[in-house]
Amino acid sequence: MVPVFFSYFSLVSILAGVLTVALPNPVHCGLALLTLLLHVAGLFLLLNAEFLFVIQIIVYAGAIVVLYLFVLMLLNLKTDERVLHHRYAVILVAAAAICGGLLLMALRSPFQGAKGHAPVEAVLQDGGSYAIGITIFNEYLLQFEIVGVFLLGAIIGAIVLAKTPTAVDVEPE
Amino acid sequence: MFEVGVKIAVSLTQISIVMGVVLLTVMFLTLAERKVIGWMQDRMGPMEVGPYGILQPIADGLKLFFKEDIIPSGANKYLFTLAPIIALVAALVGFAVIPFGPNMRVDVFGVQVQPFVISDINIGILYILAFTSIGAYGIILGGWASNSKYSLLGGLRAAAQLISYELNVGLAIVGVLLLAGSLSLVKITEDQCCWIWNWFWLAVPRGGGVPIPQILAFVVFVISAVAETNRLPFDLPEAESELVAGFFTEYSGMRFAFFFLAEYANMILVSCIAAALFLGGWNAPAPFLQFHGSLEHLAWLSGIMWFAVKVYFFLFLFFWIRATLPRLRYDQLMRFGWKVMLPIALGNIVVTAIAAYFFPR
Amino acid sequence: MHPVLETLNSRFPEAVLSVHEDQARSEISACVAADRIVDVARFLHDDPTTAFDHITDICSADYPDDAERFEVIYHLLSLPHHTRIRLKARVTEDDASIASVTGIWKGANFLEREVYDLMGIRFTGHPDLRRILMPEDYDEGYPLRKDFPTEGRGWRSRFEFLPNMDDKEGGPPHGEVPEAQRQVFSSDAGSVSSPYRKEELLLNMGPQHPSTHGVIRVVLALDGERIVKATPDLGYLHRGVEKLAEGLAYMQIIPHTDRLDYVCSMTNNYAYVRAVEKLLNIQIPERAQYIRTLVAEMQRIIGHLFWLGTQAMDIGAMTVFFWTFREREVLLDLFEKLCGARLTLNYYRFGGVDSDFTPDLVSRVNAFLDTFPDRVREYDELLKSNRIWLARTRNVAVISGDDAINFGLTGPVLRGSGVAYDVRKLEPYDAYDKVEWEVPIGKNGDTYDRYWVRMEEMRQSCRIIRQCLAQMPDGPLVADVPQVTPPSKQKVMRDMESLIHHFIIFTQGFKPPKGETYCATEAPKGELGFFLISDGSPRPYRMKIRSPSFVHMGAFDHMARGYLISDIITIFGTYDVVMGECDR
Repeated sequence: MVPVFFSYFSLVSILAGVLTVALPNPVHCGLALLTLLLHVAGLFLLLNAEFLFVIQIIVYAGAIVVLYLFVLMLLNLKTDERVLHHRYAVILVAAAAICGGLLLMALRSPFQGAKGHAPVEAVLQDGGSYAIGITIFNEYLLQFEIVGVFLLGAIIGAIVLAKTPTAVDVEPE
Repeated sequence: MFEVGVKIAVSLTQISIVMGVVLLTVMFLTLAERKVIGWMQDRMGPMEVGPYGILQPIADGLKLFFKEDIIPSGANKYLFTLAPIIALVAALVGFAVIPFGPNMRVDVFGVQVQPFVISDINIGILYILAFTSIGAYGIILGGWASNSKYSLLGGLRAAAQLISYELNVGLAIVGVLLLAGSLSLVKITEDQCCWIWNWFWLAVPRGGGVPIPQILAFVVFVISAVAETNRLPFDLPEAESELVAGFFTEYSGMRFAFFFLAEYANMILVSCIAAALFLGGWNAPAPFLQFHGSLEHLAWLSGIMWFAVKVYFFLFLFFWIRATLPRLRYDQLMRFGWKVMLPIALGNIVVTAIAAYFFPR
Repeated sequence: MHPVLETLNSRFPEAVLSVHEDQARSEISACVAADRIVDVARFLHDDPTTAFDHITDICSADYPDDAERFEVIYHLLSLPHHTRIRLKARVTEDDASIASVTGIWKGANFLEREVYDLMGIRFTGHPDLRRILMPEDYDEGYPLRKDFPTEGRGWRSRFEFLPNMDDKEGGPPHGEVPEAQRQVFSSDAGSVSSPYRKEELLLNMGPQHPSTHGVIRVVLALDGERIVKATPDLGYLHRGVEKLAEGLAYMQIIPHTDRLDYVCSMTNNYAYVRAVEKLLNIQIPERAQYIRTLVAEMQRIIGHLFWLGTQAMDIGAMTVFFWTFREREVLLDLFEKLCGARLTLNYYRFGGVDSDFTPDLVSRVNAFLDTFPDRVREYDELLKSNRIWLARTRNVAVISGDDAINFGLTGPVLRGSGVAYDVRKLEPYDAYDKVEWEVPIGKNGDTYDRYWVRMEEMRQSCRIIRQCLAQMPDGPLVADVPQVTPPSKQKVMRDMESLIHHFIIFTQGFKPPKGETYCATEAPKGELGFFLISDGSPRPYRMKIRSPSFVHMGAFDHMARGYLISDIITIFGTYDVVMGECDR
């Protein structure tokens, strides 16, 4: 069963990823991105990482892509306003390089990468959320806190940007 | 292989029973709402179809079923069709992890199954949150695909409201999760045995000890649940005196019925969650209030009954609020969500976490 | 002579052409040269000894045979001194223009537009002189002129703003707004005065919208969700009642008044018959006075119940609506018993009322009064202390007392701003000075205060009704004025002379003396005034209805600015407008 699901999730993920950058209508691109994220969540499920599966859906699908779609729908972008950047060759090279690097790392990991301290049996016994909690709050506590400070900064920045100026005075007729 | 077959068969049976009960409840919920609000407003509600109007939901269903199904010109046909389906499916899949009765195991052809919960997964409550957030897509896509300004504005408003208040729902339940030490609804409910004060709204530990009441979280949860289901006083997305019918202005026939079903299914779902998390689920308020002694083997029946009583109490609360309160303005709604509900929920988490650390259960 | 007229004569010897004091009706009027009208008006407004701070009405009359054909008539009221004055200015047909008084009274804006629309007199210096009741592209003249046929000249709007579906060629693509019309909706890109980006959006609300209480359209200019400007577009229900009245005998007009404010039609009957009685100088028998008062108060309760239900429903409190209609139903049943109709009642008659208030009705009204205060408390319990209701009504649509007076507002809207002006107290008519009651006034002039004022008025109405029932003497129902009132039905059936008398009255009508009079009545919505000019014929030469809803709509823009779109429905509700009365 697992290989069937795996091939479904991974193939649809790749397809949705391509469509995300290839579709003409921005709202459709957003929906393709949503499909991509949901299928990646499915891959997590196959790895017995239920917690990550749910968090992926809640955070990415439930919050981030919704906001993307908000903006896209409000702006009501036209479909024919796509232009190729005139230096796209340079960007293409950079993008290809980054992709190649990532691919290399991804292909190497099953053979040489870190295996982690949570074997499948332990995860199954206590649940993915337990394993993740222990890992984050023990081993990676400092990193976790640093991320927290970054997010705090982002929130403050958002408040400063979004703070409405005092009501625009209405000039008398 | 045989084992998998039995499991699938049992699951399918459970799913069909639960869906049947939920959809039947939705049907008669529409009637109950009109009746209850009618009585509160000194009128009778539907009286024409069947004795005392009890066949009204069937008439409504038939009407919606046979109504012309209009897709507005300029609408995106596929998304327009997909949106109500997403909304309804997202509302219905949540019932998979709700424990309707006591956690017991029954032997079916040598396979152990839990009869009163379709799937006891250990991230149950997060699973529900994940799928309610998917439900927001049904609303936004419905609004966008209709190619109408009222729909788009209504849809965006509805989604903004849903997201804001979903945050409060998520934060309100964290306290309960801290006390129960689990994300599984079955385990959370089991933890609330056996007296009324052991339920998590008061949260007195079973063996005695320091109570860490979650009553504030309970209030935040109920208010946010009302907001999340777009009901009065938070029904701005469908406020007919302002926005016609919000995101489903352009919908008709069965597609409209799907949105309608989704709204009521969501009401039942949040009522189930509230009952399971804060009011002890299927636990009776006192041990002697469930079948015992010679009727011990029927204890599960009283468990289901108590669960139903709690759920219907919440549903009645929904109607009652609708008949009583005026509607908030949009800015007041958002301010209330972010400036009142959110701090209370966050404060509750901090207090509960500290208390749970010093007085472990 | 009246001191105000003396002051005017001494201050403006050359501008005031003539003054007139009508002792019998205690009215004063002054004819003023048209080119000095603003000076006189400003003096009357500013001078503390006169202090005519409230503009009641502006109307016009057409005398085709005179050299100066048109007469513009201003009705002013001094709230500090409780005096009314009528200013009249004549203009010629060739130069039908007069200076605008909008600089003195802001309420003159809509009133002058109406005069321009219906009589064609231009007001120089008016900020926004457009048609108001007739369609904007109406091009066959001015309906209230005497040479305009009552049935019109067959004009039909071409509705140029609607896309022509038959015309496939060259038209805008389906569903798209053409570029030229798009410009209207985009802000002026040239004027970037604010450092922040500011975009104005035009939003059209109505004419069909669930919460506009009738057929009205409001164009809202929005900055985000805030209202920058709200322009009401009236006239969707304009029926030309004033023009129709010029062709009808006085008695035939009574049923037409039912259709003005159809929510409480009794008060319109009342206001009209009082105006005619003032013109005729008729005394009403005492029993009829009490019946009139108590029926008018029952009608006030109905009007306020209707307002409460709809306002609460607009804000989302559905239950209140059904509860108020439950009580309204009881009162409507009483009306049905009283005069056979429920909505358009046609009950008042010149010199009295149509039918008697029977003992059965008395006991039923008493039974209603026993329960009604509890019902009012019930509504209050649902709303008064409800935080959502407070949040939606407190500090929403605030209008200060001075502004309210300047706009000519009346009724609960004015009293909510703390001005204790009530025609029933100021110029008591019928039984209002024989019973004890109080005028509730608000403090802040916001929606909540107006809510409170109306709730309190319902309680006061109960007091008045109770006292009227207790004090009501026996006696005739209609004054015995043979020239005006028909003989009783019994006499008509048996007596030849009475039959002839009846026939004469109903075929020829009665002929009031030459003259003119303005008579104000306190309707649930505000001061409902009828101005009548009689030329001695059985039909009014000119009838002007001063409807509170119309004047209140003039302050709509002022009240709505700076609030959110969602508040618009609250503002509509708090005005308690009925478009039948507003558009006439």
